[in-house]
Amino acid sequence: MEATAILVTLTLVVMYTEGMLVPSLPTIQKDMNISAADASWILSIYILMGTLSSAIMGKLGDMYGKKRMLMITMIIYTIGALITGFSTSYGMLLVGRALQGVGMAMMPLAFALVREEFPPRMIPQVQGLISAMFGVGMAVSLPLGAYVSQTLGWQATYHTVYPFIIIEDLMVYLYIRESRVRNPQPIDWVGLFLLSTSLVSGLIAVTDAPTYGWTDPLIISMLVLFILGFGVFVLYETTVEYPLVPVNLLSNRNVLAANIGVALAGFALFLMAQALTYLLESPKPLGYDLSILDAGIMMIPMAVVQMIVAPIAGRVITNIGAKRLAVIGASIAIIGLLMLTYTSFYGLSYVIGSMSILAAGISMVNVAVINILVFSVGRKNMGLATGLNSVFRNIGGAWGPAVAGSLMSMYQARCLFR
Amino acid sequence: MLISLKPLLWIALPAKFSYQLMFVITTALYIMAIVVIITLTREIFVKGEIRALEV
Repeated sequence: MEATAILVTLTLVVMYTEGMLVPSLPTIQKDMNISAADASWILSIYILMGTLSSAIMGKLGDMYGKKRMLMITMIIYTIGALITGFSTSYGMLLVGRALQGVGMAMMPLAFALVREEFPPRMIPQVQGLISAMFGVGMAVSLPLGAYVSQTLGWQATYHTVYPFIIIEDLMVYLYIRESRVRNPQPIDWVGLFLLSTSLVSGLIAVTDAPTYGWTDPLIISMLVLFILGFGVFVLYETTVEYPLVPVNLLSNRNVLAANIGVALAGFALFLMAQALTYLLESPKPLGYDLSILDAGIMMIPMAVVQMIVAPIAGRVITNIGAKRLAVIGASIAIIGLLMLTYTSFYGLSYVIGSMSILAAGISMVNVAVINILVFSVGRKNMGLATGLNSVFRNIGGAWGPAVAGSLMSMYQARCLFR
Repeated sequence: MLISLKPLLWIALPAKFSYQLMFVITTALYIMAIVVIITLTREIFVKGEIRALEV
């Protein structure tokens, strides 16, 4: 229970810090005098570093203990937040965000620790509860983070977060038992190099394409490096004894489906979050011209819906089936998204309604997909499978801000010529 | 007719309507997720029981 309580409060702290960042992106863009594409790197670098560190820290957790690595990643996250909060330049901001990304590995480590504490039959309900807590985290963090950000500046949100992470770290030290599962394996540095080269090239191509043009030799080379690098990475991972990412697990159809599902959902989530933020905060007639605080308040219904739907989904899943729940959830999300494409013709209450429908669908998909994954692999492979899932979610998520930034830069560039 | 065509024209002009385009891309991602789940997944819960493939 202590592990669950700490995970829940840890989620709240991270949601508070990260939740306020997206609504503050337009302000940061103005403060730092950077383009929308540059601003998207503030999210992309965090997710990119999170992807790589989740893969490595999981292994280090198996070697040296998950509790120890959890505490180390929490300290790295705090240092990252400190640098981000005091950043005076775009470069310094990116360094801080990169360190925060490394610290993001604390989430899969904490999940792995929790999973060791519960019997399999309780896992769907516990996952429903944790998903609901993401909703609580959002409901609390979005208006609070937005309020602090608007009244004291976006840097202040980071300054208020350090004491909480230090207390959390102490709680982990005092109340969490060190994992009994040890599975020392060497780290696949070649795999890490291939994956990071491929991902960085792909992200540079998508982010910088509006500036240089899609046919620019640099952009084409980056796209080729991304595709080739990823292909070589996958091939290499199938040949080594201790791969960075256990791609052989993907021969299990349910694991493959769950991972493609989370990659698509991760991509969709970040793309949508950035689109909603700019839609709500952009001046009229393009957006609704809301303040950061008002935009944060507008997102509360989404969080409340998630808080209600996720535990219900966790309970009904055994009766209606995970596959059906995923399809129903994705269909509901599509209805919400299609409604959002018509926002320019209706008022704010219509936008809130559409966002709430979307949130209900997303919650169902999340609960369904994680259950499909957890019940499709053996317990000894659980850590590897959830680590792989984090990697796929982040790979998908890394594209969201890049594509959003790319589209918005394209839009802003064209606006200059009007 | 004009009313029903207006949103489509809105989407067809990405220079001014980047948000709509982003929501449309997100919709396409969820459609892909449905196709993947339907074609690849084997059900794990049957009549209230866990038919776990491996637990």
